[in-house]
Amino acid sequence: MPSDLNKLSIKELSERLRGKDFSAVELTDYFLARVRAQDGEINAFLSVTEELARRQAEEADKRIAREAENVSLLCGIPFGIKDNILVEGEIATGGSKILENYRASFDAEAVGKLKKAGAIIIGKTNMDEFAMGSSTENSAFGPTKNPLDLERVPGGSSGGSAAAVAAGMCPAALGSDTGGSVRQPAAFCGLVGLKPTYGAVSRSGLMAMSSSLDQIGVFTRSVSDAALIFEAISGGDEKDATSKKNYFFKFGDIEKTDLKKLKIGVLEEFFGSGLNEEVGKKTREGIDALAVLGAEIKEVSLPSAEWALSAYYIIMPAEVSTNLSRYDGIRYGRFEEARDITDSYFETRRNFLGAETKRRIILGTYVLSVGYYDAYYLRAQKARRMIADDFNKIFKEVDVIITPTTPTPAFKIGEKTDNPLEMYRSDIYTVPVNLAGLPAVSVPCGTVDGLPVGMQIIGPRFRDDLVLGVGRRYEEARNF
Amino acid sequence: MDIERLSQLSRVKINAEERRKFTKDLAEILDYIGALKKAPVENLAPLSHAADLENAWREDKAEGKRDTELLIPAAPRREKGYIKVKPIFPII
Repeated sequence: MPSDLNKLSIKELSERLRGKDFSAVELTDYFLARVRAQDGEINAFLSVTEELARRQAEEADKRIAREAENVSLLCGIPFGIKDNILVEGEIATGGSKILENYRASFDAEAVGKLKKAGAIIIGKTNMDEFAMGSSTENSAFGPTKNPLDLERVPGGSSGGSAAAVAAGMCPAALGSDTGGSVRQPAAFCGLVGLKPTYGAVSRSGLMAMSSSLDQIGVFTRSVSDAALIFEAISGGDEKDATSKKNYFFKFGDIEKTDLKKLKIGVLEEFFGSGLNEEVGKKTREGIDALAVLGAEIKEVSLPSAEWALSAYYIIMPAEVSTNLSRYDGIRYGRFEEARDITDSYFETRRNFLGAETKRRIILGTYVLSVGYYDAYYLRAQKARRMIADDFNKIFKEVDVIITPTTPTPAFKIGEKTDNPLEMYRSDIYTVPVNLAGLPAVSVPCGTVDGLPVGMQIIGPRFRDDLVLGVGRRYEEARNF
Repeated sequence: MDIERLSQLSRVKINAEERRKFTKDLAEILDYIGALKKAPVENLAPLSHAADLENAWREDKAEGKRDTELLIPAAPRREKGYIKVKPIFPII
Protein backbone atom coordinates (compact mmCIF):
# COMPACT_ATOMS: atom_id res chain seq x y z
CA MET A 1 0.00 0.00 0.00
CA PRO A 2 1.60 3.33 -1.05
CA SER A 3 1.87 5.87 1.74
CA ASP A 4 0.96 9.12 -0.02
CA LEU A 5 -2.57 8.31 -1.20
CA ASN A 6 -3.82 11.31 0.76
CA LYS A 7 -2.18 13.54 -1.85
CA LEU A 8 -3.81 11.99 -4.92
CA SER A 9 -6.78 13.45 -6.76
CA ILE A 10 -10.06 11.58 -7.01
CA LYS A 11 -9.35 10.83 -10.65
CA GLU A 12 -5.96 9.32 -9.79
CA LEU A 13 -7.37 7.30 -6.91
CA SER A 14 -10.15 6.05 -9.17
CA GLU A 15 -7.73 4.97 -11.88
CA ARG A 16 -5.65 3.06 -9.37
CA LEU A 17 -8.72 1.42 -7.87
CA ARG A 18 -9.63 0.20 -11.34
CA GLY A 19 -6.04 -0.78 -12.05
CA LYS A 20 -6.26 -2.99 -8.92
CA ASP A 21 -3.33 -1.20 -7.27
CA PHE A 22 -5.45 -1.40 -4.15
CA SER A 23 -9.04 -2.19 -3.28
CA ALA A 24 -11.74 0.19 -2.01
CA VAL A 25 -11.60 -1.69 1.30
CA GLU A 26 -7.85 -1.02 1.55
CA LEU A 27 -8.31 2.62 0.56
CA THR A 28 -11.04 3.06 3.18
CA ASP A 29 -8.85 1.43 5.84
CA TYR A 30 -6.02 3.74 4.83
CA PHE A 31 -8.11 6.86 5.43
CA LEU A 32 -9.73 5.45 8.60
CA ALA A 33 -6.22 4.86 9.96
CA ARG A 34 -5.36 8.48 9.21
CA VAL A 35 -8.48 9.59 11.09
CA ARG A 36 -7.49 7.47 14.09
CA ALA A 37 -3.95 8.83 14.05
CA GLN A 38 -4.81 12.52 13.72
CA ASP A 39 -8.31 13.28 14.81
CA GLY A 40 -7.70 13.13 18.55
CA GLU A 41 -5.89 16.41 18.06
CA ILE A 42 -7.87 17.99 15.20
CA ASN A 43 -11.46 17.01 16.15
CA ALA A 44 -12.73 17.14 12.58
CA PHE A 45 -15.12 14.21 13.01
CA LEU A 46 -18.09 13.98 15.35
CA SER A 47 -18.64 10.34 14.43
CA VAL A 48 -16.75 7.83 12.34
CA THR A 49 -19.10 5.57 10.37
CA GLU A 50 -16.70 2.67 10.16
CA GLU A 51 -19.25 -0.11 9.77
CA LEU A 52 -21.14 1.68 7.00
CA ALA A 53 -17.83 2.54 5.28
CA ARG A 54 -16.60 -1.07 5.28
CA ARG A 55 -19.94 -2.32 3.95
CA GLN A 56 -19.91 0.29 1.19
CA ALA A 57 -16.25 -0.41 0.36
CA GLU A 58 -16.93 -4.12 -0.13
CA GLU A 59 -19.84 -3.25 -2.37
CA ALA A 60 -17.66 -0.78 -4.33
CA ASP A 61 -15.01 -3.46 -4.87
CA LYS A 62 -17.66 -5.79 -6.27
CA ARG A 63 -18.93 -3.09 -8.61
CA ILE A 64 -15.44 -2.26 -9.83
CA ALA A 65 -14.69 -5.94 -10.42
CA ARG A 66 -18.00 -6.37 -12.27
CA GLU A 67 -18.10 -3.25 -14.42
CA ALA A 68 -14.92 -1.20 -14.00
CA GLU A 69 -15.58 0.78 -17.18
CA ASN A 70 -19.11 1.82 -16.27
CA VAL A 71 -18.78 2.86 -12.65
CA SER A 72 -18.57 6.49 -11.57
CA LEU A 73 -15.14 7.95 -10.81
CA LEU A 74 -16.48 8.41 -7.26
CA CYS A 75 -16.93 4.66 -6.78
CA GLY A 76 -14.75 3.60 -3.84
CA ILE A 77 -13.77 7.17 -2.86
CA PRO A 78 -14.11 7.98 0.89
CA PHE A 79 -16.04 11.11 1.91
CA GLY A 80 -16.65 13.10 5.05
CA ILE A 81 -20.18 14.50 5.42
CA LYS A 82 -20.99 17.60 7.46
CA ASP A 83 -23.10 16.60 10.42
CA ASN A 84 -26.14 18.67 9.38
CA ILE A 85 -26.53 16.46 6.28
CA LEU A 86 -28.43 13.25 6.95
CA VAL A 87 -27.00 9.78 6.40
CA GLU A 88 -29.63 7.11 7.04
CA GLY A 89 -29.12 5.19 10.26
CA GLU A 90 -26.27 7.40 11.46
CA ILE A 91 -26.24 9.97 14.25
CA ALA A 92 -26.73 13.53 12.95
CA THR A 93 -26.20 16.13 15.67
CA GLY A 94 -25.83 19.24 13.54
CA GLY A 95 -23.19 20.22 16.10
CA SER A 96 -25.89 20.58 18.77
CA LYS A 97 -26.52 18.92 22.13
CA ILE A 98 -30.23 18.98 21.35
CA LEU A 99 -29.68 16.33 18.64
CA GLU A 100 -26.91 14.46 20.45
CA ASN A 101 -28.86 11.18 20.22
CA TYR A 102 -30.69 11.77 16.93
CA ARG A 103 -30.34 9.10 14.27
CA ALA A 104 -31.30 10.07 10.71
CA SER A 105 -34.24 8.15 9.27
CA PHE A 106 -33.36 8.85 5.64
CA ASP A 107 -30.51 9.93 3.36
CA ALA A 108 -30.18 13.53 2.23
CA GLU A 109 -30.68 13.64 -1.54
CA ALA A 110 -27.01 14.61 -2.07
CA VAL A 111 -25.89 11.70 0.13
CA GLY A 112 -28.21 9.31 -1.71
CA LYS A 113 -26.64 10.40 -4.98
CA LEU A 114 -23.12 9.93 -3.66
CA LYS A 115 -24.03 6.46 -2.40
CA LYS A 116 -25.53 5.59 -5.76
CA ALA A 117 -22.26 6.59 -7.43
CA GLY A 118 -20.48 4.19 -5.07
CA ALA A 119 -18.84 6.80 -2.82
CA ILE A 120 -17.95 5.73 0.71
CA ILE A 121 -18.96 7.63 3.83
CA ILE A 122 -16.34 7.46 6.55
CA GLY A 123 -17.78 9.92 9.03
CA LYS A 124 -19.77 12.99 10.01
CA THR A 125 -17.82 16.18 10.42
CA ASN A 126 -17.77 18.82 13.12
CA MET A 127 -19.46 22.17 12.64
CA ASP A 128 -20.76 25.25 14.39
CA GLU A 129 -24.11 24.45 15.99
CA PHE A 130 -26.70 24.23 13.20
CA ALA A 131 -24.13 25.93 10.93
CA MET A 132 -24.12 29.17 12.91
CA GLY A 133 -20.59 30.42 13.09
CA SER A 134 -17.42 31.16 11.18
CA SER A 135 -14.85 29.19 13.17
CA THR A 136 -16.40 25.85 14.31
CA GLU A 137 -15.96 27.13 17.87
CA ASN A 138 -19.75 27.11 18.31
CA SER A 139 -19.86 23.31 18.10
CA ALA A 140 -21.34 21.74 21.23
CA PHE A 141 -18.63 19.09 20.90
CA GLY A 142 -15.51 21.22 21.04
CA PRO A 143 -13.77 23.25 18.34
CA THR A 144 -11.99 21.81 15.32
CA LYS A 145 -8.38 22.83 14.85
CA ASN A 146 -6.82 23.98 11.63
CA PRO A 147 -4.47 21.14 10.56
CA LEU A 148 -2.04 23.69 9.09
CA ASP A 149 -1.69 25.52 12.42
CA LEU A 150 -3.28 23.89 15.44
CA GLU A 151 -3.61 27.20 17.27
CA ARG A 152 -5.89 28.54 14.57
CA VAL A 153 -9.49 27.92 13.54
CA PRO A 154 -10.24 25.98 10.35
CA GLY A 155 -13.02 28.47 9.60
CA GLY A 156 -16.67 27.63 9.73
CA SER A 157 -19.28 26.61 9.88
CA SER A 158 -18.11 23.56 7.87
CA GLY A 159 -14.74 23.57 9.67
CA GLY A 160 -14.73 19.82 10.31
CA SER A 161 -15.15 19.02 6.62
CA ALA A 162 -12.36 21.45 5.68
CA ALA A 163 -9.98 20.15 8.34
CA ALA A 164 -10.69 16.52 7.41
CA VAL A 165 -9.72 17.10 3.77
CA ALA A 166 -6.78 19.39 4.62
CA ALA A 167 -5.34 16.77 6.98
CA GLY A 168 -5.73 14.08 4.35
CA MET A 169 -8.29 12.14 6.39
CA CYS A 170 -10.52 11.91 3.30
CA PRO A 171 -10.09 13.12 -0.30
CA ALA A 172 -13.33 15.11 -0.26
CA ALA A 173 -16.17 16.24 1.96
CA LEU A 174 -19.62 17.80 1.75
CA GLY A 175 -20.40 20.97 3.64
CA SER A 176 -23.15 23.57 3.59
CA ASP A 177 -22.85 27.27 2.80
CA THR A 178 -25.37 29.83 4.06
CA GLY A 179 -23.14 32.90 4.13
CA GLY A 180 -19.70 31.50 3.33
CA SER A 181 -19.56 28.31 5.38
CA VAL A 182 -17.87 26.31 2.61
CA ARG A 183 -15.78 29.01 0.91
CA GLN A 184 -14.35 30.59 4.09
CA PRO A 185 -13.09 27.32 5.67
CA ALA A 186 -11.79 26.22 2.26
CA ALA A 187 -9.78 29.46 2.09
CA PHE A 188 -8.50 29.01 5.68
CA CYS A 189 -7.41 25.42 5.02
CA GLY A 190 -5.93 25.83 1.53
CA LEU A 191 -8.67 23.91 -0.27
CA VAL A 192 -11.11 24.34 -3.11
CA GLY A 193 -14.59 25.11 -1.79
CA LEU A 194 -17.60 25.21 -4.08
CA LYS A 195 -20.90 26.88 -3.18
CA PRO A 196 -23.19 25.98 -6.07
CA THR A 197 -26.00 28.17 -7.39
CA TYR A 198 -28.96 28.22 -5.00
CA GLY A 199 -31.23 25.52 -6.39
CA ALA A 200 -28.51 23.46 -8.12
CA VAL A 201 -28.26 20.85 -5.34
CA SER A 202 -31.27 19.55 -3.44
CA ARG A 203 -31.54 20.68 0.17
CA SER A 204 -33.62 17.63 1.08
CA GLY A 205 -32.01 16.14 4.18
CA LEU A 206 -29.96 19.24 4.98
CA MET A 207 -30.99 20.61 8.38
CA ALA A 208 -32.62 23.94 7.57
CA MET A 209 -30.89 26.97 9.02
CA SER A 210 -31.79 29.80 6.66
CA SER A 211 -33.76 28.14 3.89
CA SER A 212 -33.48 30.92 1.32
CA LEU A 213 -29.67 30.95 1.63
CA ASP A 214 -28.55 27.39 2.50
CA GLN A 215 -26.84 25.33 -0.18
CA ILE A 216 -24.84 22.10 0.00
CA GLY A 217 -21.25 22.50 -1.21
CA VAL A 218 -18.05 20.57 -1.73
CA PHE A 219 -14.48 20.55 -0.30
CA THR A 220 -11.64 19.10 -2.37
CA ARG A 221 -7.97 19.69 -3.08
CA SER A 222 -8.59 20.51 -6.76
CA VAL A 223 -11.22 22.23 -8.88
CA SER A 224 -11.66 19.21 -11.13
CA ASP A 225 -12.39 17.00 -8.10
CA ALA A 226 -14.99 19.55 -6.96
CA ALA A 227 -16.59 19.55 -10.42
CA LEU A 228 -16.67 15.76 -10.43
CA ILE A 229 -18.57 15.65 -7.14
CA PHE A 230 -20.83 18.52 -8.11
CA GLU A 231 -21.79 16.60 -11.24
CA ALA A 232 -22.84 13.67 -9.05
CA ILE A 233 -24.92 15.63 -6.52
CA SER A 234 -26.46 18.36 -8.71
CA GLY A 235 -29.95 18.26 -10.15
CA GLY A 236 -33.54 19.16 -9.43
CA ASP A 237 -35.41 17.15 -6.83
CA GLU A 238 -39.13 16.80 -6.14
CA LYS A 239 -38.41 16.87 -2.42
CA ASP A 240 -36.92 20.40 -2.64
CA ALA A 241 -39.31 22.77 -4.38
CA THR A 242 -36.57 25.42 -4.63
CA SER A 243 -34.28 23.13 -6.61
CA LYS A 244 -34.16 23.73 -10.35
CA LYS A 245 -36.20 21.32 -12.41
CA ASN A 246 -34.28 19.55 -15.17
CA TYR A 247 -30.95 21.10 -14.15
CA PHE A 248 -27.87 18.91 -14.28
CA PHE A 249 -24.27 20.06 -14.23
CA LYS A 250 -22.01 18.31 -16.75
CA PHE A 251 -18.36 17.92 -15.84
CA GLY A 252 -17.36 18.37 -19.49
CA ASP A 253 -18.73 21.93 -19.49
CA ILE A 254 -15.80 23.26 -17.47
CA GLU A 255 -13.42 22.24 -20.25
CA LYS A 256 -15.24 24.63 -22.61
CA THR A 257 -14.05 27.65 -20.62
CA ASP A 258 -11.73 29.71 -22.80
CA LEU A 259 -10.06 32.51 -20.85
CA LYS A 260 -9.25 34.36 -24.08
CA LYS A 261 -12.95 34.94 -24.58
CA LEU A 262 -13.70 35.89 -20.99
CA LYS A 263 -14.09 39.17 -19.17
CA ILE A 264 -13.26 39.06 -15.49
CA GLY A 265 -14.61 41.72 -13.16
CA VAL A 266 -12.55 42.84 -10.18
CA LEU A 267 -14.87 44.04 -7.45
CA GLU A 268 -13.12 47.17 -6.21
CA GLU A 269 -15.23 47.56 -3.05
CA PHE A 270 -13.83 44.26 -1.78
CA PHE A 271 -10.23 45.43 -1.98
CA GLY A 272 -10.78 48.40 0.32
CA SER A 273 -10.36 48.96 4.04
CA GLY A 274 -10.76 45.93 6.26
CA LEU A 275 -8.81 43.74 3.86
CA ASN A 276 -5.47 42.39 5.03
CA GLU A 277 -2.96 43.92 2.66
CA GLU A 278 -1.11 40.68 1.95
CA VAL A 279 -4.37 38.83 1.27
CA GLY A 280 -5.27 41.56 -1.21
CA LYS A 281 -1.88 41.23 -2.86
CA LYS A 282 -2.18 37.45 -3.27
CA THR A 283 -5.65 37.82 -4.76
CA ARG A 284 -4.41 40.42 -7.25
CA GLU A 285 -1.56 38.08 -8.21
CA GLY A 286 -4.18 35.43 -8.93
CA ILE A 287 -6.09 37.86 -11.14
CA ASP A 288 -2.84 38.82 -12.92
CA ALA A 289 -2.18 35.15 -13.65
CA LEU A 290 -5.58 34.92 -15.35
CA ALA A 291 -4.79 38.05 -17.35
CA VAL A 292 -1.54 36.46 -18.55
CA LEU A 293 -3.62 33.48 -19.70
CA GLY A 294 -5.63 35.81 -21.89
CA ALA A 295 -8.61 36.96 -19.83
CA GLU A 296 -9.68 40.59 -20.09
CA ILE A 297 -9.72 42.24 -16.68
CA LYS A 298 -12.16 45.00 -15.85
CA GLU A 299 -12.92 46.94 -12.68
CA VAL A 300 -16.53 46.61 -11.58
CA SER A 301 -18.52 48.04 -8.71
CA LEU A 302 -21.21 46.65 -6.41
CA PRO A 303 -22.39 49.76 -4.59
CA SER A 304 -24.99 47.84 -2.57
CA ALA A 305 -22.27 45.61 -1.07
CA GLU A 306 -22.23 48.14 1.76
CA TRP A 307 -25.61 46.83 2.93
CA ALA A 308 -25.05 43.11 2.40
CA LEU A 309 -23.81 42.09 5.83
CA SER A 310 -26.56 44.07 7.58
CA ALA A 311 -29.25 42.57 5.36
CA TYR A 312 -27.79 39.11 5.92
CA TYR A 313 -27.77 39.47 9.71
CA ILE A 314 -31.48 40.32 9.57
CA ILE A 315 -32.72 37.80 7.00
CA MET A 316 -30.66 34.88 8.31
CA PRO A 317 -31.65 35.14 12.01
CA ALA A 318 -35.28 35.71 10.96
CA GLU A 319 -35.24 32.40 9.10
CA VAL A 320 -33.25 30.75 11.90
CA SER A 321 -35.79 31.77 14.53
CA THR A 322 -38.60 30.10 12.59
CA ASN A 323 -36.65 27.05 11.34
CA LEU A 324 -35.25 26.18 14.75
CA SER A 325 -38.66 26.15 16.41
CA ARG A 326 -38.77 22.49 15.40
CA TYR A 327 -36.23 21.64 18.09
CA ASP A 328 -38.72 21.34 20.92
CA GLY A 329 -37.88 17.98 22.49
CA ILE A 330 -41.16 16.38 21.43
CA ARG A 331 -40.51 14.30 18.31
CA TYR A 332 -36.76 13.67 18.50
CA GLY A 333 -33.58 14.76 20.20
CA ARG A 334 -33.03 15.63 23.83
CA PHE A 335 -35.88 16.47 26.17
CA GLU A 336 -35.93 18.10 29.59
CA GLU A 337 -38.66 17.22 32.08
CA ALA A 338 -40.88 20.04 33.28
CA ARG A 339 -44.37 20.30 34.69
CA ASP A 340 -46.16 21.20 31.46
CA ILE A 341 -45.45 21.35 27.75
CA THR A 342 -44.55 25.04 27.59
CA ASP A 343 -42.07 24.74 30.42
CA SER A 344 -40.57 21.66 28.79
CA TYR A 345 -39.93 23.72 25.63
CA PHE A 346 -38.19 26.36 27.72
CA GLU A 347 -36.12 23.87 29.70
CA THR A 348 -35.18 21.71 26.70
CA ARG A 349 -34.03 24.70 24.66
CA ARG A 350 -32.29 26.32 27.62
CA ASN A 351 -30.25 23.21 28.39
CA PHE A 352 -29.46 21.92 24.92
CA LEU A 353 -29.00 24.97 22.68
CA GLY A 354 -25.75 26.94 22.67
CA ALA A 355 -25.23 30.67 23.20
CA GLU A 356 -24.86 31.74 19.55
CA THR A 357 -27.96 29.76 18.58
CA LYS A 358 -29.98 31.44 21.33
CA ARG A 359 -28.61 34.84 20.34
CA ARG A 360 -29.70 34.39 16.73
CA ILE A 361 -33.13 33.02 17.66
CA ILE A 362 -33.71 36.06 19.85
CA LEU A 363 -32.42 38.47 17.20
CA GLY A 364 -34.59 36.80 14.55
CA THR A 365 -37.64 36.96 16.78
CA TYR A 366 -36.96 40.66 17.31
CA VAL A 367 -36.63 41.61 13.63
CA LEU A 368 -39.84 39.74 12.83
CA SER A 369 -41.88 41.15 15.70
CA VAL A 370 -44.68 43.67 15.37
CA GLY A 371 -43.36 47.20 15.08
CA TYR A 372 -39.90 46.14 13.88
CA TYR A 373 -40.76 44.00 10.87
CA ASP A 374 -40.90 46.94 8.44
CA ALA A 375 -37.82 48.65 9.83
CA TYR A 376 -35.64 45.55 9.72
CA TYR A 377 -36.93 42.50 7.87
CA LEU A 378 -38.75 44.23 5.04
CA ARG A 379 -35.90 46.70 4.51
CA ALA A 380 -33.40 43.85 4.45
CA GLN A 381 -35.43 42.08 1.77
CA LYS A 382 -35.44 45.25 -0.31
CA ALA A 383 -31.68 45.59 0.13
CA ARG A 384 -31.44 41.97 -0.98
CA ARG A 385 -33.24 42.93 -4.18
CA MET A 386 -30.79 45.79 -4.71
CA ILE A 387 -27.80 43.47 -4.28
CA ALA A 388 -29.22 40.87 -6.69
CA ASP A 389 -29.99 43.63 -9.23
CA ASP A 390 -26.48 45.06 -8.90
CA PHE A 391 -24.94 41.66 -9.57
CA ASN A 392 -27.15 41.25 -12.63
CA LYS A 393 -25.93 44.59 -13.94
CA ILE A 394 -22.30 43.58 -13.45
CA PHE A 395 -22.88 40.30 -15.29
CA LYS A 396 -23.97 42.29 -18.34
CA GLU A 397 -20.41 43.64 -18.49
CA VAL A 398 -18.30 40.70 -17.35
CA ASP A 399 -18.54 36.88 -17.24
CA VAL A 400 -17.26 36.26 -13.73
CA ILE A 401 -16.25 38.36 -10.73
CA ILE A 402 -13.17 37.82 -8.59
CA THR A 403 -12.72 38.90 -4.97
CA PRO A 404 -10.72 37.75 -1.96
CA THR A 405 -12.68 34.97 -0.18
CA THR A 406 -11.94 36.35 3.30
CA PRO A 407 -10.53 39.61 4.66
CA THR A 408 -7.77 37.80 6.61
CA PRO A 409 -6.15 34.36 6.81
CA ALA A 410 -7.25 31.91 9.56
CA PHE A 411 -7.47 33.63 12.95
CA LYS A 412 -6.49 32.21 16.32
CA ILE A 413 -8.81 29.98 18.34
CA GLY A 414 -10.59 32.18 20.89
CA GLU A 415 -9.68 35.42 19.12
CA LYS A 416 -13.24 36.39 18.17
CA THR A 417 -15.45 34.29 20.46
CA ASP A 418 -16.27 37.19 22.78
CA ASN A 419 -17.23 39.53 19.97
CA PRO A 420 -19.95 38.13 17.70
CA LEU A 421 -19.92 41.16 15.41
CA GLU A 422 -16.18 40.72 14.77
CA MET A 423 -16.86 37.06 13.93
CA TYR A 424 -19.69 38.05 11.55
CA ARG A 425 -17.33 40.36 9.65
CA SER A 426 -15.20 37.43 8.50
CA ASP A 427 -18.03 36.58 6.07
CA ILE A 428 -18.21 40.02 4.49
CA TYR A 429 -17.08 38.93 0.99
CA THR A 430 -19.03 35.69 0.85
CA VAL A 431 -22.45 36.77 2.17
CA PRO A 432 -23.57 38.85 -0.87
CA VAL A 433 -23.24 35.73 -3.06
CA ASN A 434 -25.78 33.81 -0.95
CA LEU A 435 -28.20 36.74 -0.88
CA ALA A 436 -28.22 36.73 -4.69
CA GLY A 437 -28.22 32.91 -4.97
CA LEU A 438 -25.09 32.86 -7.14
CA PRO A 439 -22.45 30.14 -7.62
CA ALA A 440 -18.94 30.79 -6.29
CA VAL A 441 -15.79 28.83 -5.73
CA SER A 442 -12.84 29.61 -3.49
CA VAL A 443 -9.50 28.45 -4.86
CA PRO A 444 -6.15 28.65 -3.06
CA CYS A 445 -4.02 31.53 -4.38
CA GLY A 446 -0.95 31.42 -2.17
CA THR A 447 -0.01 31.88 1.46
CA VAL A 448 0.63 34.73 3.87
CA ASP A 449 3.04 33.85 6.70
CA GLY A 450 2.45 30.19 5.90
CA LEU A 451 -1.34 30.51 6.07
CA PRO A 452 -3.41 29.85 2.95
CA VAL A 453 -5.34 32.56 1.13
CA GLY A 454 -8.40 31.96 -1.05
CA MET A 455 -9.58 33.74 -4.18
CA GLN A 456 -13.35 33.80 -4.78
CA ILE A 457 -14.71 33.39 -8.32
CA ILE A 458 -18.40 34.36 -8.61
CA GLY A 459 -20.65 33.71 -11.61
CA PRO A 460 -24.21 34.32 -12.79
CA ARG A 461 -26.93 31.96 -11.62
CA PHE A 462 -26.52 28.42 -12.97
CA ARG A 463 -23.14 29.25 -14.50
CA ASP A 464 -21.35 26.99 -12.04
CA ASP A 465 -19.54 25.68 -15.11
CA LEU A 466 -17.94 29.11 -15.61
CA VAL A 467 -16.70 29.60 -12.05
CA LEU A 468 -15.32 26.06 -12.02
CA GLY A 469 -13.91 26.50 -15.53
CA VAL A 470 -12.01 29.66 -14.58
CA GLY A 471 -10.83 27.98 -11.38
CA ARG A 472 -9.67 24.97 -13.37
CA ARG A 473 -7.68 27.10 -15.86
CA TYR A 474 -6.09 28.88 -12.91
CA GLU A 475 -5.02 25.71 -11.13
CA GLU A 476 -3.66 24.22 -14.37
CA ALA A 477 -1.49 27.30 -14.83
CA ARG A 478 -0.39 27.22 -11.21
CA ASN A 479 0.32 23.47 -11.40
CA PHE A 480 -1.79 22.40 -8.48
CA MET B 1 -34.86 45.53 23.04
CA ASP B 2 -36.84 43.67 25.69
CA ILE B 3 -34.78 40.47 25.96
CA GLU B 4 -37.13 38.96 28.54
CA ARG B 5 -40.15 39.28 26.25
CA LEU B 6 -38.24 37.96 23.22
CA SER B 7 -37.05 35.03 25.28
CA GLN B 8 -40.69 34.29 26.16
CA LEU B 9 -41.84 34.63 22.54
CA SER B 10 -39.12 32.34 21.22
CA ARG B 11 -39.38 29.75 24.01
CA VAL B 12 -35.71 30.14 24.80
CA LYS B 13 -34.95 30.52 28.46
CA ILE B 14 -31.76 32.40 29.21
CA ASN B 15 -29.92 32.77 32.48
CA ALA B 16 -28.75 35.97 34.13
CA GLU B 17 -25.29 35.82 32.60
CA GLU B 18 -26.66 35.23 29.10
CA ARG B 19 -29.09 38.11 29.60
CA ARG B 20 -26.20 40.42 30.45
CA LYS B 21 -24.06 39.20 27.55
CA PHE B 22 -26.90 39.18 24.98
CA THR B 23 -28.03 42.67 25.95
CA LYS B 24 -24.56 43.99 25.14
CA ASP B 25 -24.02 41.83 22.00
CA LEU B 26 -27.45 42.48 20.55
CA ALA B 27 -27.14 46.23 21.12
CA GLU B 28 -23.93 46.20 19.08
CA ILE B 29 -25.45 44.01 16.37
CA LEU B 30 -28.58 46.19 16.16
CA ASP B 31 -26.41 49.25 15.93
CA TYR B 32 -24.57 47.65 13.01
CA ILE B 33 -27.58 46.35 11.10
CA GLY B 34 -29.43 49.59 11.87
CA ALA B 35 -27.22 51.22 9.23
CA LEU B 36 -29.65 49.71 6.75
CA LYS B 37 -32.03 52.55 7.61
CA LYS B 38 -29.85 54.68 5.33
CA ALA B 39 -30.01 52.28 2.38
CA PRO B 40 -31.86 53.77 -0.61
CA VAL B 41 -34.38 50.96 -0.99
CA GLU B 42 -37.72 52.81 -1.00
CA ASN B 43 -38.79 51.92 -4.52
CA LEU B 44 -37.63 48.33 -4.54
CA ALA B 45 -39.78 45.23 -4.22
CA PRO B 46 -38.68 42.91 -1.41
CA LEU B 47 -36.80 39.78 -2.47
CA SER B 48 -37.39 36.77 -0.25
CA HIS B 49 -35.70 34.19 -2.40
CA ALA B 50 -33.18 34.07 -5.25
CA ALA B 51 -34.76 30.97 -6.81
CA ASP B 52 -36.81 31.50 -9.94
CA LEU B 53 -39.66 29.51 -8.52
CA GLU B 54 -41.97 27.55 -10.72
CA ASN B 55 -44.95 25.56 -9.56
CA ALA B 56 -43.62 22.30 -8.21
CA TRP B 57 -46.60 20.03 -8.15
CA ARG B 58 -46.30 16.40 -7.33
CA GLU B 59 -48.61 13.50 -6.73
CA ASP B 60 -49.79 13.34 -3.11
CA LYS B 61 -48.85 9.74 -2.59
CA ALA B 62 -47.28 8.09 0.42
CA GLU B 63 -43.76 6.74 0.12
CA GLY B 64 -41.63 4.84 2.60
CA LYS B 65 -44.00 2.55 4.41
CA ARG B 66 -41.88 2.22 7.54
CA ASP B 67 -42.38 5.84 8.54
CA THR B 68 -44.12 5.37 11.88
CA GLU B 69 -41.90 2.44 12.77
CA LEU B 70 -38.88 4.66 12.22
CA LEU B 71 -40.14 7.97 13.49
CA ILE B 72 -42.06 7.19 16.68
CA PRO B 73 -39.10 5.53 18.46
CA ALA B 74 -37.12 8.75 17.96
CA ALA B 75 -39.48 10.60 20.29
CA PRO B 76 -38.10 11.00 23.82
CA ARG B 77 -41.48 10.23 25.44
CA ARG B 78 -43.95 7.75 24.04
CA GLU B 79 -46.60 5.26 25.01
CA LYS B 80 -48.30 2.45 23.06
CA GLY B 81 -46.93 3.65 19.74
CA TYR B 82 -47.88 7.29 20.32
CA ILE B 83 -45.77 10.33 21.08
CA LYS B 84 -46.49 11.50 24.61
CA VAL B 85 -46.27 15.12 25.72
CA LYS B 86 -46.50 16.92 29.04
CA PRO B 87 -49.85 18.54 29.95
CA ILE B 88 -50.77 21.18 27.39
CA PHE B 89 -52.82 23.34 29.77
CA PRO B 90 -50.54 25.05 32.23
CA ILE B 91 -50.60 23.71 35.75
CA ILE B 92 -51.41 26.61 38.00
